[in-house]
Amino acid sequence: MSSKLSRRAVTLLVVAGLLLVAALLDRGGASVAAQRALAPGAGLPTRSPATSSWYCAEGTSDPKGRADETLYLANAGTSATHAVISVSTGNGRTPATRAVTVAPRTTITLPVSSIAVTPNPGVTVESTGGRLVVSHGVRADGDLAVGPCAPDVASSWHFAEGTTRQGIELTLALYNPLRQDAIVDISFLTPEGPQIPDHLQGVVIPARTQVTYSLDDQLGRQPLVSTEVLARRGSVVAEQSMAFDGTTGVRGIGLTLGAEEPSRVWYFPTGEQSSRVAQGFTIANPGNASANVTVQISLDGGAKVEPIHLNLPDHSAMPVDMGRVPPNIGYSVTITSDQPVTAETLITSTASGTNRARGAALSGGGDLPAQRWFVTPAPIGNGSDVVAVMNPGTGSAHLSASVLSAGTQRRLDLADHRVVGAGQRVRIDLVGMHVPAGSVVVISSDEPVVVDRLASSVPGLTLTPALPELTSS
Amino acid sequence: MNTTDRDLEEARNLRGGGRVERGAGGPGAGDETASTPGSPMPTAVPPVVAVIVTHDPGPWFDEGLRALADCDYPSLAVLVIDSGSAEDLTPRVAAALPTAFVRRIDDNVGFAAAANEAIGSVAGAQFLLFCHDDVVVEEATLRLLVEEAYRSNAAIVGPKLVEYENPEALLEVGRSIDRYAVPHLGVEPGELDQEQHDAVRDVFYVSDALMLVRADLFTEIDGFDAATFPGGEDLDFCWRARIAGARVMVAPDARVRHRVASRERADAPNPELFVRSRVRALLKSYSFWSLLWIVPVAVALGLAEAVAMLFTGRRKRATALVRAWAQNLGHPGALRAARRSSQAHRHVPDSELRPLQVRGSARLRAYFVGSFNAEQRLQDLSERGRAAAGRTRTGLRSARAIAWLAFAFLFLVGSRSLLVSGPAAIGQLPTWASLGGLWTAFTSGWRYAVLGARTPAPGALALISGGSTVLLGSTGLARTLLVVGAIPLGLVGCWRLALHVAGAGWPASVAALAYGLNPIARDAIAGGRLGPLVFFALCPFVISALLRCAGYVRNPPRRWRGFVGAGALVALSAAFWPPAILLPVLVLVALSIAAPLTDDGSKRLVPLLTAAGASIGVGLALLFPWPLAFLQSGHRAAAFGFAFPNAVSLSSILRFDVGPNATGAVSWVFLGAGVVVLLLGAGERLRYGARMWAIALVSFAVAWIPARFAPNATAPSIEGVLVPAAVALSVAIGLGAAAFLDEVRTRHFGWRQVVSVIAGAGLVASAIAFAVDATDGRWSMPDDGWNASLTWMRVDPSTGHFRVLWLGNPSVLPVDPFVEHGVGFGITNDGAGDTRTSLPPPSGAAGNQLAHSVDLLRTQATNRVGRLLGPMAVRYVVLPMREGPNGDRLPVPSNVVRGLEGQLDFAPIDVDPNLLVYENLAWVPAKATVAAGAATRRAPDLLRPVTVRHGKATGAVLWSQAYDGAWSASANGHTLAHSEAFGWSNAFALDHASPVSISYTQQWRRYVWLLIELGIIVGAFFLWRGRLPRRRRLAADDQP
Repeated sequence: MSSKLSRRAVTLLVVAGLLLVAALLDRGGASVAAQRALAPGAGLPTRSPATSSWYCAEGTSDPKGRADETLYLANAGTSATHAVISVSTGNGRTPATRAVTVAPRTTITLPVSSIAVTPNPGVTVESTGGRLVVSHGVRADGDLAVGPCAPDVASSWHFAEGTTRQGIELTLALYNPLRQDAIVDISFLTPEGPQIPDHLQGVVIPARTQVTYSLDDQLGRQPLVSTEVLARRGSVVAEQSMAFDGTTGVRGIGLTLGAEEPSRVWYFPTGEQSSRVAQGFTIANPGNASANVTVQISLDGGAKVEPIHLNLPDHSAMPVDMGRVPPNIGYSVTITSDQPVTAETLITSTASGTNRARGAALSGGGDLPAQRWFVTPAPIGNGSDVVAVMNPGTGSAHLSASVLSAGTQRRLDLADHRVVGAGQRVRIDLVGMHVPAGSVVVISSDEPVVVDRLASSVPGLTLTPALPELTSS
Repeated sequence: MNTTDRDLEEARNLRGGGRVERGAGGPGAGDETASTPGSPMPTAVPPVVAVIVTHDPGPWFDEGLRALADCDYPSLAVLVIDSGSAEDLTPRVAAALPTAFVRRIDDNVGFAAAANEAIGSVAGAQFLLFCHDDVVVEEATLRLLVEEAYRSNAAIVGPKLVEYENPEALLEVGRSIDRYAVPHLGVEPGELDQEQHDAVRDVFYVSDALMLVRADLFTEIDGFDAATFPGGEDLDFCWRARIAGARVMVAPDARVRHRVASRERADAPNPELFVRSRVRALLKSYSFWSLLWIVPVAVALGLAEAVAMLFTGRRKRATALVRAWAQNLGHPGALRAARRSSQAHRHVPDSELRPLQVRGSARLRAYFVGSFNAEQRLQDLSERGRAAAGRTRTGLRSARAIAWLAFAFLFLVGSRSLLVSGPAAIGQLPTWASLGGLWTAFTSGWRYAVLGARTPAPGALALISGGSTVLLGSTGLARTLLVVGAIPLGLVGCWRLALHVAGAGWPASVAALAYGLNPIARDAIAGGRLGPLVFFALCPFVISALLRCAGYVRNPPRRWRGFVGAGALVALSAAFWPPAILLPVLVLVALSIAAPLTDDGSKRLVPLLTAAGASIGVGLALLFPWPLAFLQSGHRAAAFGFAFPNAVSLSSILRFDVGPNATGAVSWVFLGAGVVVLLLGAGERLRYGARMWAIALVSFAVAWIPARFAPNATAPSIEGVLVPAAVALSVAIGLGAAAFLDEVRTRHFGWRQVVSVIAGAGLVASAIAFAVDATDGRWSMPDDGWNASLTWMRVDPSTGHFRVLWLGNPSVLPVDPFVEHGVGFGITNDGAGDTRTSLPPPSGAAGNQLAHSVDLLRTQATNRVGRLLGPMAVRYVVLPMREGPNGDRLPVPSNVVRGLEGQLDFAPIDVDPNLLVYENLAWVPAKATVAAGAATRRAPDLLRPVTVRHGKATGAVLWSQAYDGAWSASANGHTLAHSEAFGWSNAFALDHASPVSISYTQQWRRYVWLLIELGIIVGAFFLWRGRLPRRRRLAADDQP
């Protein structure tokens, strides 16, 4: 009897013990019968900015056009890259193409009009592997605005900044590089509230076609216009340009690629305020809930401006009052929000005195710090050319930089700018380091940072966000 | 050649019968016949000469002669040909039949050569009656034969042969052959003559034990072929007569006793020579075009039979089978001459003789009929059926029967929609192709799955084809029966296992019903998991077989019978679900772990180890050569069934809550009720309880440990992994019921009864949950798969064959998915696909290219995936979000969706909101002529699509199958240069525009493999069945 009892007891103990141990170990396990779910790693893209395709929406391919477009193809890799440039001329016609080879560590410049002359060129640049970084510039009234082309199409695009005041032409360019027609809805946030023009709902963007809209024609004069493009079907690339004709004292053009998704945080490494340089920030809340936004301004030297708190009702946009920022001190801006928002900055420069640089620059900032950045070329002349590196983290970031030019890679001596304190930024003066105009700069850091590039010349001003290289980590 | 009307009239006159008194005479005397006065005999009947060939005859010879003497045929002469007898037979012949003549040949030349002496020795006879020396005719035999010859205009007529000693027993009533010249008697050994075969009819041939032959025909076709003796001279002669346009008949009213004395003779011809003779007859008599297919099949069957005989220890006979072909084919000159002679008389095509041949294999037919005593078994079955019906009438009134009936009713209700409209084509349950398509896919040397591979087809395809064949080609019905029948079969298996372990009656029934109530089988149906479903049906049988082999239960089977039985069950399971091959290991590990608690020493564990190893070995052998494909699987474990996400919680595992049929908290009952045996059981029952729990825990561990510690890894379908646990817990529940019934009910009321009642209530609750699941009639399986939505995808001859790439959540894909970084993918051909592409091969370099393309989509690393997929003939890319139009929506990999949306060569097609379909505009047909050079690159140029040249054009012919040197193309009779294209595909250089024919030159290898496969299966069968008793084996060997 006792042996029977002991066998039973031992068996029960073993079974119970094993189940108990398993239950303890299982505390992190899934709670559902989840073999029908996806494996945890199934959704993680690993992406390199040297992707195979780049799409450039805004611009005209006519030297006398509204915004004559030029392509900059920079090969950041160590081997030659073959690329095919397709320029869609619309109406279902077969795109004009040109094959080019980009030598390693070299940038080539190619006016789109050299491939096809058309008022609405949608440009697709495809490369087989390699590390091609494609940006484009649009030139108007002597100013050049440069921005990266889109490595993706998307079904939604958001622009926070914009105005249709007199003397400013706000243009929205939509490019559909795919084989399917896209159907999009275009709406706006203005001080008068959301604007949803009927004729901009259900707009068909034919396959392989670029379409532009002059928003001042659509909306009339509005001091603030935040644009939202949502595709019902298909995907597009959206860019926006603002051309200043001098009526407001500013002449030039700014170019920005929209944000695919609103975000709860935006970083702007470059901040400039002076008597002739004005920088503004606009925040848009396209969501259905009001957003509590904090704008944190970090001055060079470590000082911080008292944070600016804003409450953005749903479907509204609002400029940030930068009056608290002392002039002539560089700064960086971090915008955080409890709801996803979009943010953009506009820098305008008027010529005065001996400094005859003038122009406008638009940028959407960055929402995702990374450890390696490609700073796309901004070949606007021999003015100033500064890369700003912002460290939004809590620890110091150690930087290294190199320049890719004419087939060579040269390491830059960052000297005092090698370390970026937490919440701080450094400015790397490329002109001072004799970096040729039109070079690609590669910034590496041991901590995630955000990078952009502000270049100015006579005339010309451009603010170009750098492109992060993301890894699966 | 034909008899005349006058002859017919003479024959009619013969029917009156009568005896002719003759004096001594010589050959040829028969041409002057006389009738007895007063008798109704005609004045003239066709003269017949009986040619008796003999050699050292026994005492029966005299009786045979006397019987001939007593014949009522009026015009009969007898010629005895003595083929080299040791002593002169003349005195014996003279004594028995004084009118007979004797012709002596010095040497024993055999029956055929000796009988041919009649050609030169007999003149004037209209018929020749060839006789062995051991037959005894009846008085009317000859007359009846001649009458039938006239009546039916037959050239050859044979009698009914009965046993010499027992004339009530039939020997034969005419003979037939199968297509491969194997004789078929149509009479069971020892079958009593009840006039059941007494219809006069055409037969393929009659035995030369006694045959009436028209003399002119005999001379015309040169008599017997001496080279077909022994064993084939009658077949050969009749066959040649047949193709010459003569009729061969059997007249059963004419009866002859046959001693078959050759069996008793010391110098009897070697039966193994019979095969050689029949093969010669086959090679001589078929037309050339028939031989083209008959010979390969006959050789294959012969080899298979030889292999089977090797396994059963009949080496000499196996050798003879092989030698028969070698000897005949080894003398082509002689064979050609013999064929020329036979075919010179041909007036009838082979197709006209087919109705006289039996279908299938006469050898197999004879074996099964002889070995299984079908009639006896049927009778036995009938008696058993009557007894069972009686028992059922009584049993139906019991509570247990009510429980079974309730389950059966609920099961039928729950399966009603499946039975009516069939299972949906979802998951790993695609539609089944036509019967021809299935068999073709199975016998093909090239697997047209994924991007093609030189790997053997899976055994499941043979089983599916076989099952569909049994159902006369109704593949849909076979599919439905397999799905719906799996649960009842599993119940039977569990019942049998519990019968051995827990005991008959309630324990076995409770175990079986608990197994049936377990939701994993319903979930397997709901998800279209065919493999786990088949495993659910067979797993209890496998465990039972292993336990029996290892002596865990009483009455273990004979050693090899047990191993082969278990191995066959393992093979059947693994054919549909490859991980099932590891079940014996799981059982071995579990019982080894439990050994300290169950006192199982080496006496049990060693046999279990042996049984596990042997069953796996036999299982692999029976699946051979398919398992070889897995040697190439490399890192692609999905080819082995490891294709599904692995994130399942312990709670879900323990409750078997892995699908839509989960029963919530109620499903804890299986675990809870299984504990009862540990609480109440004692002695051997407790030990069995511990063993079952060990199996359950190991099964749970196999499901849970990877989920906990390697969540990113893929795993086999969870429904399958948990099947052993379901079996073990069900048997444990049955053991608990036994403990309750045997031990507890005798005690006073206490906690034991309370525990048992709670467990019983739990089972009732799970039965209610089962009933709830039954309401939709499909066990939560969607009404339909995506086939109906994609019927518009079909091959257009003007564009060519194409493939469909399925992408997304592996759980919703209607294919056996491969998995890369959590994204499932698979390929179907020319549309939504069918089961021919199931259980795909690993596919080597081609598969790697495909996986790479999918990964590029997943990482959105290129927008030109279409140009990578184009040379793979991938025309459509489909991403389902549900298992079917009305299935549950499951998560999809959003990055893949984005990747698809961004493709520059993909055009979306609106089909269903839950089905993303893109047409790849850069696709290239599976067989296409492309720009020269495009097909020779290591990889497609993403910047340039491969351009297809329509119409007759030069360039490279692209054949979108994985590169293999066995592919060959020819144009205008010239073989085209073959090269590897894109690092995985085939290209052929076409210099001049012309039609191109592409063929696979290694198909013969597949046939060899099939032969080996067949041989293994037959060998295993004989191993399972054991050796035939010596007496029956002898009898079987002697059969023609």
